Amino acid sequence: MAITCKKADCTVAQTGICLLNNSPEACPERLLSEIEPAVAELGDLSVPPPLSAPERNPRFPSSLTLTPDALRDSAAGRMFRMVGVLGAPDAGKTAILVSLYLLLSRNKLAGFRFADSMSLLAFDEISRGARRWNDGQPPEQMTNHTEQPDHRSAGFLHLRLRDQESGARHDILLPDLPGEWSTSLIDSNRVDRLDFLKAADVIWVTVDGRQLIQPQTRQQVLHRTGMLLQRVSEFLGSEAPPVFVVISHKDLGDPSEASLRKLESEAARVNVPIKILQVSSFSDNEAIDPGTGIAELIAASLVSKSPTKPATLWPDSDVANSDRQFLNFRIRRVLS
Amino acid sequence: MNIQSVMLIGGPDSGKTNYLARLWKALQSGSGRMKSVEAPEIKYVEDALAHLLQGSFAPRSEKNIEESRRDFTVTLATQDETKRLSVIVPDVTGELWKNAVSSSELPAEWMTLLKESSGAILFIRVHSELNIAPPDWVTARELLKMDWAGPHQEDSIPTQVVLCELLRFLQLTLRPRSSGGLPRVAIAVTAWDRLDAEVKEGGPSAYLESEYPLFAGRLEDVTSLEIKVFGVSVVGGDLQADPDFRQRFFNGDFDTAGYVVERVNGITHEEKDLTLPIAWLAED
Repeated sequence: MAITCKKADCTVAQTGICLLNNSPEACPERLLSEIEPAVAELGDLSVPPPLSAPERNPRFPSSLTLTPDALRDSAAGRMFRMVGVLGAPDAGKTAILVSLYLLLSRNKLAGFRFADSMSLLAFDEISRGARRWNDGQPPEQMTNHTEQPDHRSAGFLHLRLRDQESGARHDILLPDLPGEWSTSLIDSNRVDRLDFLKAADVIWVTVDGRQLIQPQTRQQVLHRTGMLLQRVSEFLGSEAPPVFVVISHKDLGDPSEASLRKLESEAARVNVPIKILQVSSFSDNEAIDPGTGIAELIAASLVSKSPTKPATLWPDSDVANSDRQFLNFRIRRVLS
Repeated sequence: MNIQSVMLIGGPDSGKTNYLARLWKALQSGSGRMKSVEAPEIKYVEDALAHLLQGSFAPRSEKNIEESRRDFTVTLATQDETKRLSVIVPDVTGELWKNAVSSSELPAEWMTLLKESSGAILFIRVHSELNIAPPDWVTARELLKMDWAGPHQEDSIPTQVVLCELLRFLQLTLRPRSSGGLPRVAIAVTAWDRLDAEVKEGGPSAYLESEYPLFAGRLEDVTSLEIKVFGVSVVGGDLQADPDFRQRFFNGDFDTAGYVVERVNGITHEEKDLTLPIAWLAED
């Protein structure tokens, strides 16, 4: 039971130490509560410890999408080729990833074979339609936490491919991001969560081929793609890696020559050299196999620019003198 | 004597029980590379062997087998007794591994034993009804179109993805052999006799490459484990679907039934010794 004191400045109640150096039980200044004898009879009233947390089974590191932290931890020293994937919602970003995975699952990616993936379950999940972002709310950022998320979260997908001809291994990182991030890049120039693009070796700007061949939507999709290229140019400037404009739904038809020229002129206007590729992740057309163009896209992405070491990715800030100690710690850790 | 331990792992219906039953008989016959030196609790393998001896494979849903013992341990030795090996089967039903893949969790006791092991046999059964192929383009597109997502269905994780995950778990846990060599993993492709002659001729690695490209790619890429792929046929034929074979089996000598295949110098080589994969794990 707590002991209190007649002296206002005595802290015996908190510390158990008498300011007059008396034994707390014997100090003449000790304040006796009227109910003390009665309470003493009740014996020990201390609260029993709460129930201990249920024991959790030991876990293996998950193979879902890689958070920046997980990637940094597990990939130290490995050479990666990072692909930045941008594009409006429904432009076909996820479809390309799924088609790539299905090609590898059946050993049909011309020129390459699967060698490894640190995010195999993530590939498998998106191939089975587990695509809904957190109950319809796209994630606001890539989390740095490594615990297994309950829902699909934005992160990186890893693939190691073996070149069938040379036997060389290529480690590729593909971000799995909601299209809304590209939309807000265009509309609000929101670049904070796209910082990783600075480390990209190549950027894919995906364009919905269905919209490009429809007269009613053609102009709009050309305009928005031009805006996206402009934002990329503004954000990365002369550091921009090669940009591939990837047009989806080849199975439904090819875009007009005029559309392609317009894309090129838009890109030239903002000083972003582009290469245009067409893919058909799935197919409704017997003449076009599902997965058409994916192998070419991968092959082209592997020959552009030299690969980057992941340790230099995601610098949280250039300034190492924040008022907040924790930020300084984070910055040192990221930069080290 | 320093006893190393190895684990037998594999999902449901991957052929563990029938292999163990046949292995058990091979260990008793004394004609193989390995023999049994200590097996305190043998009801599980005796029950499973009873099925084989009577001309049927141990059924997957056999309650006696599943419930009599969920785990099984036997200590083996080479015939000259220079090496001993403790063989542990953590969960004969395979549910443990299925759950481990979907949740990335393993009960602490098995995680500890896995970390104390220096080798494993990973089982895959040819033509198992439970094998799951990856989704095709049509299915995947339809799933992508849906603007809802059902709960993640663990049951539909393709078999080759499960195998890749189990191999990853082994990479993360197995410790070096007592000689300091890399941990060894034997891949046992069971029901090998069910494949046609041409596929058999290509050997078990080529079979994995055509059937499970992701897993075959992983096997080739792994540098932290020593891996060997074996084809295993516990009795040498199909007791259920082939009446002629069944008749020959009843009239023949059980100790000569079944075989193990491995690819040696580009030739698919057949061995009668069912203890071969374990003997390979027991090497220094």
